[in-house]
Amino acid sequence: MKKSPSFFSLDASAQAAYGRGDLARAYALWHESLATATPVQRIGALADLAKVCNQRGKSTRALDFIAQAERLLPRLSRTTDDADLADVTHTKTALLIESGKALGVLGQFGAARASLNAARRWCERTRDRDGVKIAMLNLGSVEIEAHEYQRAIELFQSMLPIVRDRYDKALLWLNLGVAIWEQASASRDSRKANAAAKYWRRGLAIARHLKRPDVSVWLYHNLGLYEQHLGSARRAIEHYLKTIRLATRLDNLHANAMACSGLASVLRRQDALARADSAARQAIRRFSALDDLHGLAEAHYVRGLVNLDRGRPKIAHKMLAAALRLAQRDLRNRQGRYRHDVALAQLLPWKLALAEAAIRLGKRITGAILR
Amino acid sequence: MTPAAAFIAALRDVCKEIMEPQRNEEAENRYNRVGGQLRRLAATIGKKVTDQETRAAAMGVLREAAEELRGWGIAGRGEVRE
Repeated sequence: MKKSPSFFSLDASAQAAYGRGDLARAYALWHESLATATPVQRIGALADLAKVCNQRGKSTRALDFIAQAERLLPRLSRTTDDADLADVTHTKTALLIESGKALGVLGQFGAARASLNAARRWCERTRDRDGVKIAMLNLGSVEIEAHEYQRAIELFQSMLPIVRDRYDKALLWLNLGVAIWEQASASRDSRKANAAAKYWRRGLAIARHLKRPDVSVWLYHNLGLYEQHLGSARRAIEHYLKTIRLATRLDNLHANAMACSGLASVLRRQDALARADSAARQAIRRFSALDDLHGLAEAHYVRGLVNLDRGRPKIAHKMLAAALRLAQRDLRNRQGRYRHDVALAQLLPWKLALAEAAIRLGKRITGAILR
Repeated sequence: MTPAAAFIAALRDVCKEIMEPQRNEEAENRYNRVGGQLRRLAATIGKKVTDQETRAAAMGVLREAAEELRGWGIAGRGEVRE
């Protein structure tokens, strides 16, 4: 009879798959390892599964794994084994951080901040300097998600003196650039947008030098966004295509989906409508496998506009109606993220596009569509 | 120029005027003022313009203007990990 593989061999294979960026394989192996894991090992594997889920944009699933691990933690705190205690310390940090990340993505900012601040305090107490940095970077990320850009910028800037490692520096430039970009976008400040791009270019130079495609992939995407904003379609397309190639290699579905959506939008402006439609379809397919409702709504919106331009109002109407439904659901999920007037402003182009498609289909539009 | 084309051209000018000051405006005012004006215009067009093609084109013009109300796109923050 064939002997089933031990926890150790499955965990080692999962770590190797994770290290080479094969997230689907890492997920499958860690999941399989649960069957033969001791309680300590089980908590570690659950934290790893949450980590992989977060990276694949499956935040709700990540929270499920974290909840399962947390149910086992009290049992573990009674352990007397030193090695186990070291494991628990590390795993507790990982659980708090992954929980903060997932909650932030789902728009539960208060809970996300609490979890990441707890992680930071825990890491300070256990003298885990890397953990402190990771908790702070994620906290900044949550502040961006919560539209608290200045707070995020200050937090990232406060990290500059403590970040020595070049990989961490690349991550810091990436995130500082994002905070400045979002602030620039809200205040329509082009000079700030240029500053964001400057940080992204610095980050990209480091990430490429270190051969860290996991960071480069986002920097290429963001520089594509910047070039799109400047109106430089050719460069934007180049950056998005590089993002898609890298993201495919890394199995980074989220970066892939975002770049496909951006690419569709630029191609539409270039009147390359068939290619734009194909890119938008790919974006929808990829976002459908993730928890990013806003991204999914955006991809439907772009595909709707492309089909309006192609003279296909039926498909356009279907896409735009789905986009609006998804965007409204996203806004409901992110209670407190948008004020009512902001939400209306965000949804107005979607509603107008839907009205346009409805008219082209010969349907009557009512005032309700614009409310 | 046909009356419909003239109407669309005029609507583009109106939208340009509505959108122009928003660059220096606080986000809150921008959303309230511009969003409100565009919605009112859309409602008026929905009621008063009977020709389907012109109505659809007018909604397209308003939509393009409203798109400027949105941000410049969401940047990716990457994955912060060990």
